[in-house]
Amino acid sequence: MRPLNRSGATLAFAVVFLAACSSCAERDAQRAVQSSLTGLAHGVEAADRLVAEAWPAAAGQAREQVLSEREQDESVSVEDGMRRYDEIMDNWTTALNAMRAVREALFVGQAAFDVWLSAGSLPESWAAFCLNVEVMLVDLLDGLSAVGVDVPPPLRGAPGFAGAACEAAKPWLPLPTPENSGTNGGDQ
Amino acid sequence: MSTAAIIAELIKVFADLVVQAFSEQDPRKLKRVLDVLPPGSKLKTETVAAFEREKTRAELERQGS
Repeated sequence: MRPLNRSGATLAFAVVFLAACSSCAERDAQRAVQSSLTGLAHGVEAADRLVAEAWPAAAGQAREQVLSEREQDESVSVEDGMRRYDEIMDNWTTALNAMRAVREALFVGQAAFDVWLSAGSLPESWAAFCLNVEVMLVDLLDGLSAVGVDVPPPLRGAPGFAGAACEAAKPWLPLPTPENSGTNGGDQ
Repeated sequence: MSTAAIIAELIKVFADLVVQAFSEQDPRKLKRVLDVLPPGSKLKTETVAAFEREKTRAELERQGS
């Protein structure tokens, strides 16, 4: 009887241990993902503040240039002047668009993460988020560097952090089906 | 006063300030509006960009007249 009891207890312990471990692993992954999403959101917020502060000086210079060019050539219309202004400010607009893209991607990522917390599995939108976010972050860092705005600390190395968060969450992605295999890159 | 009415009033006050800052081309008024936006608000750079673009258009129009 004794050996049987011991093996039964061992088996029960193993089952409980495995269940606990798997839930620990999920919690660890969730913690890693949440901290990465929060860090990225703070980074974008800091970048927004820095770009908003630096924008008026750059815009002022662009405006002066357009006004002086128009003073020399009176045939330039207001619309031509605005086109010229947009051309001079092109790098800034690219940085702004990159920031907007990252912000929208983070919104999707956070919504997917909330589903994971409440429903226990990640929706397919998480795969779409992971597919794009690293490239978007690289574009944002390039955009900031093109306009001479310092990359705020939370954004330094951000593409790598986002990649690590996506890797950590991978085991909880839905298995590919014929319907979703085209949307998540087919590598899950 | 209901919560909805208070929110509506706040939005109106806020919108009026933005309209004033834009129409008077007053960067200090705009800054005052932007300073009270909560952290993480997605409006900062986009508002400044729109403000500066409008200012350029207004100066070009003034220059031509």
